[in-house]
Amino acid sequence: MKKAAAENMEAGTAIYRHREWRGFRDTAYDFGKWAQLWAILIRWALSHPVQNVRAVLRYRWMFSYLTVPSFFDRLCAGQRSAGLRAARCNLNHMAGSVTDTLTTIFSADLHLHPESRKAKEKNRKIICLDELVPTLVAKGFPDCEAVLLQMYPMFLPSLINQHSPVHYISQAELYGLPADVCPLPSFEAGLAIEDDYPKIGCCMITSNMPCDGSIMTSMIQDRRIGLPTRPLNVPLRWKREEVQDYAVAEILSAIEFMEERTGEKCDWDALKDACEIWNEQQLSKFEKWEMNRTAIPPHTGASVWLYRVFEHQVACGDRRTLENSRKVNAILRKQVAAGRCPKTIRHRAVIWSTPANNYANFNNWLLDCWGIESVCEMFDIHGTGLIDTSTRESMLYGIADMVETSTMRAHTKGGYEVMLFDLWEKVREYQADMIILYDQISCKGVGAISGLFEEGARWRGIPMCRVRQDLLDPTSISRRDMRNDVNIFMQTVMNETPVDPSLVDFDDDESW
Amino acid sequence: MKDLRHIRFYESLLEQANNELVQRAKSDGGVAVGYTCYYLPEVLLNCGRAFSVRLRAPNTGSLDISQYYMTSFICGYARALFERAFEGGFNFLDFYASSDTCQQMVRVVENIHELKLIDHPGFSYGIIDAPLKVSGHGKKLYAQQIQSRILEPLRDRYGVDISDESIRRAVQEHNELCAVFEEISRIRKAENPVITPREFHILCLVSYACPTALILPYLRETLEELRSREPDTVCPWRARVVVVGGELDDYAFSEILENCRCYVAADRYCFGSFPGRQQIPLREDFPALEQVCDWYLETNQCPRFMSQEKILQRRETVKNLVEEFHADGILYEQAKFCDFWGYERTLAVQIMREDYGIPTLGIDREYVVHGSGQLATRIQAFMESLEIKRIRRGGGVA
Amino acid sequence: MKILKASLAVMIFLFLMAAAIYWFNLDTRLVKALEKPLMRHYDNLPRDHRL
Repeated sequence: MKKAAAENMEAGTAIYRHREWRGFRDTAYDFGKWAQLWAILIRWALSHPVQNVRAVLRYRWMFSYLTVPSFFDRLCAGQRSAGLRAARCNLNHMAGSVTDTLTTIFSADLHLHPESRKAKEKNRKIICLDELVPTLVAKGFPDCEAVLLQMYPMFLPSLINQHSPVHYISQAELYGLPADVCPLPSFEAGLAIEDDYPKIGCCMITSNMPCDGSIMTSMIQDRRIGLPTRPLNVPLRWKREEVQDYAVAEILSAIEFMEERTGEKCDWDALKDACEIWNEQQLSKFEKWEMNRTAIPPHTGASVWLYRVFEHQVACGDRRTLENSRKVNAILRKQVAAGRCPKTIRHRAVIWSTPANNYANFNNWLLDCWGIESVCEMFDIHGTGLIDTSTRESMLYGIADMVETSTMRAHTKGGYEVMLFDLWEKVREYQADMIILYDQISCKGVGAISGLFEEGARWRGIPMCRVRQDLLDPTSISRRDMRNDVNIFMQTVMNETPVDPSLVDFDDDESW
Repeated sequence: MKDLRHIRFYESLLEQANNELVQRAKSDGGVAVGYTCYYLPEVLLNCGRAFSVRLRAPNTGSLDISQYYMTSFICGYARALFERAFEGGFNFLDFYASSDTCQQMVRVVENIHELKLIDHPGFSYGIIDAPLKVSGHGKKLYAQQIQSRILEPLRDRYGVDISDESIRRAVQEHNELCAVFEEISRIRKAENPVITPREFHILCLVSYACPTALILPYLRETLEELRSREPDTVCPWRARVVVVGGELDDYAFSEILENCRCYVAADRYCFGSFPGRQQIPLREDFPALEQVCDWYLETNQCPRFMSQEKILQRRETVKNLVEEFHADGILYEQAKFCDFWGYERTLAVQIMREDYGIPTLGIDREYVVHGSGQLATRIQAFMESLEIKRIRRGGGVA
Repeated sequence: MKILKASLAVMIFLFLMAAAIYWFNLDTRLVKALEKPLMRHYDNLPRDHRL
């Protein structure tokens, strides 16, 4: 990594004065992938030019998607060799998928096509899901499109552009929503208040995932979205054998609801195929984790957990995503076999609790500034079950498990032991020497056991750095504040000097 | 009006969780079961020799210890309970019945367990999972969780009789208690009621905080007194409200309302009487456990319920209380940092005002309400607006 | 042959353009320039703003 990286950033916006020089081969590769990304974006733009321009002009959150190339640059900051290649492959794959879904959304969006019979017809085959409900549950409807409704206006923009949530959160708070609630459901509520959800779909499956705030915001959304709705309730104590029947009954209830609203019958063979693809995706993921347990972890950085979230929620049971994952594994395997490690690693860290959407590439900064490699990240390691597709019954139990262990809830639900004891287990498994614990100030479920983390780390003699953040609200805790928490820890507790001193403190408040 | 004979006694019972009646029940061999939430059917925690104690942390001062373990953005009630447990205030508990229905509340018992805060041999706890809508399989889950996570441990560890007959006996006793409250509640419908908001709140709290069998005789005597109590010659109340919200175990809240001459005609909050103090009907031909669980699920007003039917039920329940108890308005209250009621309050204030046309105020408050000038100011302003509306409608000024 | 030479020249030109845009981060700067006018546009859009 070339030092003095921050000197290449403009003050305030942190826009790179020029893109990163990574040596000739890696820079050429990066250039090629950047060009590929632009090809994806231009293809999307030209596929329905009028519709897409109208979408950009209609929805404030669409602006964030214009900044995607810059976002990908940040996620690949400092990366070389296999890590760079894996990141770029994963990110470009996601870009392709997202643009395809945006086309589906905008073609059916009654905000953009209010009188269009064609759009109304398309909506009859669109099933809206809460973003935490994996699309796997709808794979038994291959003639329908399952869209995670909040993913595209909310979750992705909050990662891409840290300022995107601010306006919407303030709209929710204008109506009296307290400021202490988690900003993610606040953002969702604000979107509903502003009528900024695309008007699509024939029905909506909401859910209680991942937390109390999400349960409640769905009521505000229901009111504005106005679709026939069925809550898919996922057991909190998901590790218990005795709640699995209930979980399966809820999945069946959701399937029955989708049949009723779409007029289609569930194709159990198609669902089985999707589950088997998902199993392959899981095995591919397990291999990545195995490689990260070695002394030269090849697959780290922000794009890792982002791709995992995408895979678990959006692209589960998708063959093209499986092929991409296999391609990436081959790249990573090659580097591990060659014993190469093109980065300065001083510490192997387990990163625990929910990452900050408003600082999606925090992992990159940790490595580039202080040599802290995120060998294992809680957000990446949810959902480790394989689905037994030998019978319909066992398949349903497997799907229920997959849903129960979705993003953000596999550890935050199930009992405190899951969140706490799993941490110590991962530290041991990945031979980590420190912990970075995200302290999301408005996350009540995790905050309420924060003392147990402190005491547990102290008792085990594991240095633990607590990084305060507010998930996706940069106005309460900024990126600079987050970096400062690490800086203070590394300077005063670990007594270390930075790998790149220019990255210790810099101004990126206006950065996307 | 003349003071109620037992009011000072009731106030003394509310000074600590391990009050005189709890101690008496324990010395008589009772099994003290602490709980916090309507999701734990109170009546089932009173089977056999078990008795329920709905947990409070009266006289809460600083929350420094809980702030360390739980951070300062956690609801005051959860933190106060944790702090009290840390201080040893819950060492009398044999069993803590909890539910994973509020992520903050459930962490209290998890912290208690991990840090071994209850210094009591044989202490144990159970946590149920509960559905978020009322469905066939949801009812099944709920009953199964109550059975396996609460009742069976009570039976296996403490020898509590959880048979069908035992449950029916507990329901009978519970219904006797509820009959007292149903009658006292009807008193509140009068234009110039003979029970004040503070008094009613106290009665409710002692009924939750004390063993039913031991508090019931006192409550019966209080009911007798109320039947013949003379009202004040001039009605002191400027307006009548229905108070709706989450956990509210500090009767100082009702005192503040009283001081603003605001009459709490009905109380739809946790630790209140709606729901919780209505008689449970039981059929002979169906297992009592399932009937009780169904009852609690159907009547539960927690905003956690996500289905459209339950959302509508919450609005309609409040509207019906306003009509039945001749209220002029609604006061939605929430404890600070409560996610459920933060959203419910935001939405409901808007809906009750705009869609139902009922004047509504939403406030948030600390766990300890005593001396809150800000709260009093807001209530005063609301009272004035209700009075003006009443005058415009052609009603009198109090 | 002429067409081939011309095509080659165009491709080299496009490649160099792309490389310049890539290296000097011109795509990001363009989007940054669009940000303010677009935000003003969003602020002025009529909205069905309610709970």
